[in-house]
Amino acid sequence: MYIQHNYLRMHRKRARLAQSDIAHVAALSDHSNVSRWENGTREPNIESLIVYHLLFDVPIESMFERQKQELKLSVYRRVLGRLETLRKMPQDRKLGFRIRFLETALARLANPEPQAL
Amino acid sequence: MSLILALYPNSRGLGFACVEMPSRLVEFGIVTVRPVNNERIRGRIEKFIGFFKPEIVVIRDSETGTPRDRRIALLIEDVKKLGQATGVPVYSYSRQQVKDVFEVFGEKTKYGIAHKIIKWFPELEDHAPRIRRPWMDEDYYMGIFDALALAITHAYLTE
Repeated sequence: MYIQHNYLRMHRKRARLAQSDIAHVAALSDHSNVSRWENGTREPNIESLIVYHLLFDVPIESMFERQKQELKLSVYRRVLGRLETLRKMPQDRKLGFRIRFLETALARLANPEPQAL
Repeated sequence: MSLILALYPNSRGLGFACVEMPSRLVEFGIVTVRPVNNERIRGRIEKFIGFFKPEIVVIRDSETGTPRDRRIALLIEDVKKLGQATGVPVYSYSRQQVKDVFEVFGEKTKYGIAHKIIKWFPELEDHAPRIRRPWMDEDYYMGIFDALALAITHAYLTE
């Protein structure tokens, strides 16, 4: 079961909205799914995430910061692995573009981001 | 940015607050357990630690005297053991330490401290306690402010 802390409840409580308000805005029949998303027992779908983004005017990633940090680490490792594989292949112009892009991405992933308040 | 889970066991069960220092209130609430039972409260604390994965747990210090104090002292010991088992450091602060810290901000009563906290975290305004008269019970949501006061005390004393 998917149980991980997120910031959906924090944004809702900051705005002093009820779960039923979110359910109505997200066109859900009742608020039980909102509760499950907030408790991390169910993953919200893309549409609901966009509803949160539009309603609270915050980036989607800011609602899942912990998940983002974990994913960032695994993406970093996978990019590194891919780069090693690509560097061993016979080099041509197209491959050079791919390697340069992945190197730029790797440098970006290695930099810590400023924390949002 | 450190995530602090502050716990304030009281007569109803538990007040809790999860704060990302310096100023982000992630979660707060009251756990009511009827009849009050340490085992069930401990279960909820275990769930909180598993869910929020805090870096630090802050809890009130135990006092001795009434049977309630003795029950809470046992719960605090349980939480400290839980912290050791899960590798999360547990800090405890007495009521006096909280008062001393908030005196710096010009408040020393529970009511004053709660309203000072509301100034810092306006999302708690809906839970603002009323002035307590001698015949009144403690406000239902006071546990949230007690827990937050512990988190702020920890941040103040460790920085």
